[in-house]
Amino acid sequence: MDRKRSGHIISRGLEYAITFFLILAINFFLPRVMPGGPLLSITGSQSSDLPVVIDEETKYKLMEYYHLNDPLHIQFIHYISDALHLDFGYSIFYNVPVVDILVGRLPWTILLMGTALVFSTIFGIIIGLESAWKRGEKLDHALLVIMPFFRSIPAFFLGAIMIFVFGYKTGWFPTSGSMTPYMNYAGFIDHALDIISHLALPMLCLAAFEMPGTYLLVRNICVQQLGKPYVLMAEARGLKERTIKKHVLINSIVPVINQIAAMLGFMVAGTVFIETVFSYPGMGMLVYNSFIERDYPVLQGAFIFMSLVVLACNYVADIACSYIDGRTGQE
Amino acid sequence: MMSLLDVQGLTVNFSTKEGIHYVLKNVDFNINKGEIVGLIGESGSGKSTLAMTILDINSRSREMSGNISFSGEKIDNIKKEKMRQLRGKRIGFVPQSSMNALNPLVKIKSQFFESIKAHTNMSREEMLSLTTRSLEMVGITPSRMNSCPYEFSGGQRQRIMIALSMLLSPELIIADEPTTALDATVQLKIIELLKNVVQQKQTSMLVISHDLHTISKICDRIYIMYAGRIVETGTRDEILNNPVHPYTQKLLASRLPLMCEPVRVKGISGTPPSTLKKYEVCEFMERCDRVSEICRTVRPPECTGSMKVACHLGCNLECHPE
Repeated sequence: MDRKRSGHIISRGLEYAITFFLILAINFFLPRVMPGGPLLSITGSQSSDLPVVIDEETKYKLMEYYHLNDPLHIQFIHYISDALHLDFGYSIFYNVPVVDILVGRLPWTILLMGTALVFSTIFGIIIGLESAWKRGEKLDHALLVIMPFFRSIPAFFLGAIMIFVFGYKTGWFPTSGSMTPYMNYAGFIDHALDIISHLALPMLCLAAFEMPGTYLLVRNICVQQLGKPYVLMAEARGLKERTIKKHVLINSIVPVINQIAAMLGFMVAGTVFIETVFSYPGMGMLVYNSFIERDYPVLQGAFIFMSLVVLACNYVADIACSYIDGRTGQE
Repeated sequence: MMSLLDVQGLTVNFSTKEGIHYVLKNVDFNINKGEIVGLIGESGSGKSTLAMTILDINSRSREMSGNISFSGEKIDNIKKEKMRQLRGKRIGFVPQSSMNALNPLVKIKSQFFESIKAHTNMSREEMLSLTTRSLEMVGITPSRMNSCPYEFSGGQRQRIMIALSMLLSPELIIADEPTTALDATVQLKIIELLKNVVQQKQTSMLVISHDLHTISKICDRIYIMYAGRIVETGTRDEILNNPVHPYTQKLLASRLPLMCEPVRVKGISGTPPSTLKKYEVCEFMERCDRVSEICRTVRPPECTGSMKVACHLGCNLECHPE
C-alpha cells in the first residue's frame, strides 16, 4: 500500500507541475494577445496628451533589446527560462527587480492567510461538529442563521468596522501596517508581540470571512455521517461521546480538506481587500497598488507566486488525504 | 427460570412531519438466561425499533411508555451515562447493516481497543490478547487486525462484528438481521457461528429476522411480530408445527423449499399496514382470509401474560366470556 501511495503522490505532483506550466503560459500569452505593446507605455501614442517622440532607430533597438521582434514561441521559451531563474523583469513603478518586491511581500501574506486559515478551519470544524451533533436544536438553528450572516458582510466593510471599534475607539489594536515603524525592540518576544498585535485585526477579519463556509460544509457532512450505520454501532457499543465524535470527524475531514484547498483561490481574493483596508504590506495590497499603477511585471509576478502557493497547498492537501483515507488513489 | 430481559407494555411512537408513527404497540416480551429467542416479522413491523429501544439508541423524536428491565433492574428512563455503561458491556449488539457498521477508515484493532477502553481499564497487553482471542473465535486471522474494514469481505466483516459485540462477554446479545445481505452459504455459517459463540460464552441472545426458516434452527422460543404487535409466541416446535395465528400460518406457507422441483410459493397478499394509521381492530384483518364476524367488531386479545396468540381463533371460552 505504501508503494501505491508514493506512486499516487508522484503522479499528483506531475499533474500539478503541468497545471503550473499552463498557468505560466496563460500568464505569458494573455497580455500579449491584447492590442498595443510595451513600447506604447514608454513612447505614448500620437493622440495621447504627452507623446514622447522617439525615432524609428531607437524604437528598433529597444525592440531588439527586449526580444520583441522574435516570434511569440521564442519569446515564450525566453520567458520560461527567465522564470526558472526567478527573473520576472523590473517593476515599472518601483524600478527594482520584481522578485525582490515579491520576496519582501510574500511572507506577510503567508503569515496572514496561514493564521486565518488555521483559525477559521479549527473553529469551523469544532462549531460545525457541535452544530451537527445537536442538529435540530436551538444552538444549531441559531448558528445556521449567524454564520451565513457573517459570510454575507463584505470583508472590507467588516474590516472598516473592526478598525473603527477595536482600533480607533478602544485603541486596543493598531489600525495599519504589519509592524510599528522605526521601533527598537527589546527582544524577540517584544518583536513577536508587535507583529501579532498588528496581525490580529486583519487575521480575524479574514477568518470571519472564511469560517462560515467551513462551518456549513463541516456541519452538512457531519449530519450526513451521523446517519451512517457505523455511528449507530458506535453508540450501541457504548462508546463515549468524544470517541464517537472522533469517528465522525475522521470520515468528514477528507472532503473538508479538499474543499478548503479548493477555496484557497477565493481566499487570495479576500486578502486583496483586507490587506488594502488594513494597509497590510502583503501581496494583496501589492496587487491592488500595482493595478492602480498599471505595473504589469509586478502583477504577473504576483499572480505566478500566488498560484504557486495555492497549488502547493492543494498538493499538501492531496498528500494529507491519501494518509487519512487509504483508499484514495487506489483505483 | 429467571428472566434476563423483561419488556412490559412497551409502546413507542415517533412524531414526524407526516404525523405520528405508531411503531410498537403494547409489546410484552421476555428473554430468560441462556435462552435464544427469535423475533420474526416483515419489514416495517417494528423489530429493529424494539431492539434499538431496548438499547436506547433511537431516542430522537421518540415517545415511549412501558417498562424495560434487565436482570431485575429497570433500564428505561435511566441516566444516559448509566445506559452507555450497559451498552456494549452487558448488552451486545450485532447491527442490521454490519457491512457498514465499522468505521471504514479506522483499523480493526483501534475499533476493538476503543470498545474495551470505553468500559474497562485494561493494559495494552490485555487488550491485545483479548482482541486476538475474540478474532480467533470467529475465524479471522488475528494478524489482520491492523487492516481497515474495507479490506475485508462482507462475510468477514460480519464475523468481525460478531467478535466485536461479544468482546466484553455481555450477558445478552441482540442480533438485528445478522444474515441479511449475505449469500445463502455464508448465512448458514454465520448462524452456526452465532449459535456456537453464544453457547460457548453462555450468553442469552435475541435474534431478529424476517426469515423464519433461517433462524428457527437456533431458537428456543419465537415471537412473531406484525404491525408493531406481538401476534403469536411459543416454543420453536409450537410455532413451526402448530401455528394458530393466520399470519404465522401464512409466513410458514411462504417458505421457499430448497432443492426440489419448481413450486409456486404462496406469499401473503396485500401490503403491510401503515404505521401512521391507528387501527381499532386487528391490523391483519385486511390481508387475512379467515376473517369472521367478530374480527370486524371486537379487537383480538393482546399477546400478554398467559395469552400466546393475538387472534380470536386462538381464544377459548374464557377470553370471550359472553
